[in-house]
Amino acid sequence: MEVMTGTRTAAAGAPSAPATPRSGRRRRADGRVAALFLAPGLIGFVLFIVVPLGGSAVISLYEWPLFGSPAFVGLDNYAKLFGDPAFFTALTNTLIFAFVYTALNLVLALAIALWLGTRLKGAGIWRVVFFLPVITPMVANALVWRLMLSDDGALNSALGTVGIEGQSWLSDSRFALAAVIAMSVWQSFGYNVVVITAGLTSIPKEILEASRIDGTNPWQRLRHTILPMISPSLFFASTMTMIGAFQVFVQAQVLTQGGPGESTNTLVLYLYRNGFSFDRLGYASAIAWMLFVVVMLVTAVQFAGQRRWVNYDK
Amino acid sequence: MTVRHLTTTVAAVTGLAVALTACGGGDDNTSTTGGPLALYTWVSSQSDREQWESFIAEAQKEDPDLEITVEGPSFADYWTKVKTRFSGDDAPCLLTTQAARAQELGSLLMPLDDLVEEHDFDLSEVDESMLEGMTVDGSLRAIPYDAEPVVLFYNADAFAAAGLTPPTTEYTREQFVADATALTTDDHKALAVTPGMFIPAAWATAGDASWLNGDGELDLTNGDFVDEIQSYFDLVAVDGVANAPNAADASDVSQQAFTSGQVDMLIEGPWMYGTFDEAADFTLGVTIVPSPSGQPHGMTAGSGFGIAATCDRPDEAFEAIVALTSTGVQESLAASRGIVPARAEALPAWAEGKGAGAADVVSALLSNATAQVTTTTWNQVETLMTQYSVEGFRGERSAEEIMQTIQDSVGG
Amino acid sequence: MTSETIRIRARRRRTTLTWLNTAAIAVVALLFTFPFLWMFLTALKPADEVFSGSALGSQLRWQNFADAWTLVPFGRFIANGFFVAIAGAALSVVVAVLSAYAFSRLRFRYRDRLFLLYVATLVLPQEVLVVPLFIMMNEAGYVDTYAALIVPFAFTAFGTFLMRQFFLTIPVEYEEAARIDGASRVRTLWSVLLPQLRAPLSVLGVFSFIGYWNSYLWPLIVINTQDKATVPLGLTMFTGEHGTQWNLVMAASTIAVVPSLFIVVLLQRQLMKGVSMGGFGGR
Repeated sequence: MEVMTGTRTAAAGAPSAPATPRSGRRRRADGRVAALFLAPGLIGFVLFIVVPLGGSAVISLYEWPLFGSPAFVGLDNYAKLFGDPAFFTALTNTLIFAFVYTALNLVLALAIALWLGTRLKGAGIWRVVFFLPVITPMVANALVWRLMLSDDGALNSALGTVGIEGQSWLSDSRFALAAVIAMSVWQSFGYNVVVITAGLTSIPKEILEASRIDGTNPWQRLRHTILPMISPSLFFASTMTMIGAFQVFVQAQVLTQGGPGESTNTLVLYLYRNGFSFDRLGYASAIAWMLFVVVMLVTAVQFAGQRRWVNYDK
Repeated sequence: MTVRHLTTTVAAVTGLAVALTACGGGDDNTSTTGGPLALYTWVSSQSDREQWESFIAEAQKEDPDLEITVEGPSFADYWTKVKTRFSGDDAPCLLTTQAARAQELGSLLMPLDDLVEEHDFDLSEVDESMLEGMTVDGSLRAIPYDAEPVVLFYNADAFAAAGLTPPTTEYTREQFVADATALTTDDHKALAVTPGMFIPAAWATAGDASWLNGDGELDLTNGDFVDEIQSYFDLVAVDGVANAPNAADASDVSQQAFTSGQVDMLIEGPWMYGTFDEAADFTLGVTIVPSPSGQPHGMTAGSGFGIAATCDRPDEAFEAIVALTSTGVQESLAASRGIVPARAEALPAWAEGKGAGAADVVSALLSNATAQVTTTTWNQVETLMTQYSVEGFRGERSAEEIMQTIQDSVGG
Repeated sequence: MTSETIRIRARRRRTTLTWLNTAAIAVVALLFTFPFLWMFLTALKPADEVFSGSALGSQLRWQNFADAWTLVPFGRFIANGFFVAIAGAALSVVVAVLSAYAFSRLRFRYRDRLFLLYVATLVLPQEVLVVPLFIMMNEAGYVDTYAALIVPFAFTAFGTFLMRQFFLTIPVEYEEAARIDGASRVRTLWSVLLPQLRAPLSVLGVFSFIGYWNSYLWPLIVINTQDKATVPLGLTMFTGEHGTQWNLVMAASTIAVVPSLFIVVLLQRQLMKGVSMGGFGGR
């Protein structure tokens, strides 16, 4: 976690106020003032993040309908969850989605960012183009993809004109999850293009120049100079992309409704449906906690793994 | 952001807030202090809103003092939202339900039997299958306004061109498959299907099978029902007379395929008659959902008005329902909106302007009809069937496997 | 051949390569934006030609945009969307600035531990919280209100974290001077710190705005009526009891995409800067 608190960054240590401690009187005054400044944020933080997080755990111990009164059932919801094949399918789908999506996202983002760093006109404009779907409404993005990928859609008719027989991208269980991943990568990798570009531009020109003079080829420069230098950006991008990936919902809901079968059902879609369509808020909360645990585990593993490949020395 | 900009923004936001609140007005349902009754129902579009408004306008002809306001989410969200809406304190008194959802909303709906008796309301004029559909735990929960037996629409011109006999009030499965096969060519299918449980349920009902056991519990895995579902899947997987749909396709995809002439047949609710007739440039035919014997056995779908269990003005609310479901209102809506009225005496109003025999088909089906009675878990059944039926149509899973999976998920 | 001509040739070849390279990325970018193009083209087709496969319909039906606007109250959805997004962004910015000031400029007990707790919630998926938040809103009678759309998501740690990072880049001496002149803390924050932070403030504002504007799951859960629906929710309303009209859905989607396009074009500098400095927002 320390990376993100900023305690390691140059900015954090230097100018913060407490560097000049004064009298005890002053310090007490700070406490009171701080309470005032913090109050709005802290109240909201407790009310809308801490309490719901705890509440989620409590609700998961109840059978809790939308209409009517809840009944305490202990760990029944969890017992049911571990015997529910649809849950495990949704979990597996979500894990596959998260890893494949994150990998494709980063590879594409890196490729485009490197390409935009070569000699070409209007790099800034192209970067903005790739960023576009990041901020257009996901629902609109997913709707047009559903139209394009449907059996009589644009993709199949384009394939037809070059003599390739189209596929039922959204209703064939072999392709449906891939279609959801493809749409999601298209939608989001522009974000990481910008993150990685920021990392690339921070590499001192002299270092690249020096390694060029050493007679290295572009691949070697990428592998041994550029990648290590931007590894903090990559680590950061992969962590945040992965966390975002576990929240996949709109794409599955709009493109395939989780089908065919359960082949594109995801944890958040399953959570939403159990809570708000099937009237089982308790069960949905149990799913929410499993989602929480999985995200925490994956993030912890990523942080543990960073020591091997992330290089913070410049 | 400068101070001036911030001030401007705040002013703009405040202005917008005031404007939005003003045009969102009328949210305060004063269900406790007299005044208009609120009706909670689906309002997907302007067309829906007009439908409810014409219900109210017509009902006011019966009862000039009647005042009803309408609010609600889109149809797709209705079945979820209705439960949260009625857990608040200012809940409306009236709500709409479909027979297929009556069990699910049972706890929200006040039993009406005592009110029916007190107000001497004559139920004998109302379609029997629909009354059964609106009955939960032995008591009536809503008064139906329509009774719509699912029918098979067909392109009469295509039938004529292929030299086939247009079916009327009898249609065997055998003949249906033969006709469909004759109409199907390499790049043309005879039928369109949709994911979900609604049409398969109508198909199974025509074959005298049910998804419920004798105690009204979900029983998807009984042999008769599984066979019926399999025979429906087989129309795509084996007979090849229709294309497999996409899971996210709503009924519109098949409807559009039918009206544009891409397919020649479609199983749908009779409420679509007017829409199809208008959109299609061919002669619209209508017949029963084909059954093994060829005799009609209709599955009725339909909606009705109920009173919220939390309503403290039940008498007033019941009077409003009496007015909303009167023969006059049903005749008017049958003519203007194409609903098949729940009162048989209003049926001629529906038949007017429809092709010869349409009313005969509907009457034949209603004479042997079963309502789409469901269970409290139907929303989940419908969702899962939407996901899984695609694989059934594609022949990747058998009906038996799918019904077992859904039964386990819902029951477990 | 003089060294001069060699240099000119080399430069010329480099220019040609640059243009070829640019043309290549232009093609890729064009393919990339194809879904938006298709959205727009479909929006102009007659209903029965949506699946015809050709790029243009038999006629250009601009009428579809008007139809989409009236079939559902789309203007209302847009007004709601703007209101919720602007109010939400404003609230997020105010909360973040106040908290970030405390975390970066004031000294108090448990400060670092509290900040760590804030930061830890950055990795918490908001989806985990929707069930309890919904129950809270329902108990408090806030279901189907603007407040329910705006308030619960204005307190995420992201804004505080981002603002603190920026605060730390500003030397504390400026404020010391103002403080010695007798200015209050609020006044110092307002007239000394904030004017130096215009860019970061607009970054946070824009990202919060986009987050609210595009949010779907929470409005889907907490909003019951068309009166309060925002744009993404409104887009799904075209799929109703009687099915989807794809040409109108695409017309509505096109309308929904336009504000985002404006934001990108007008605020691209802030956006790019925000992404590279804060790294994550708008998720």
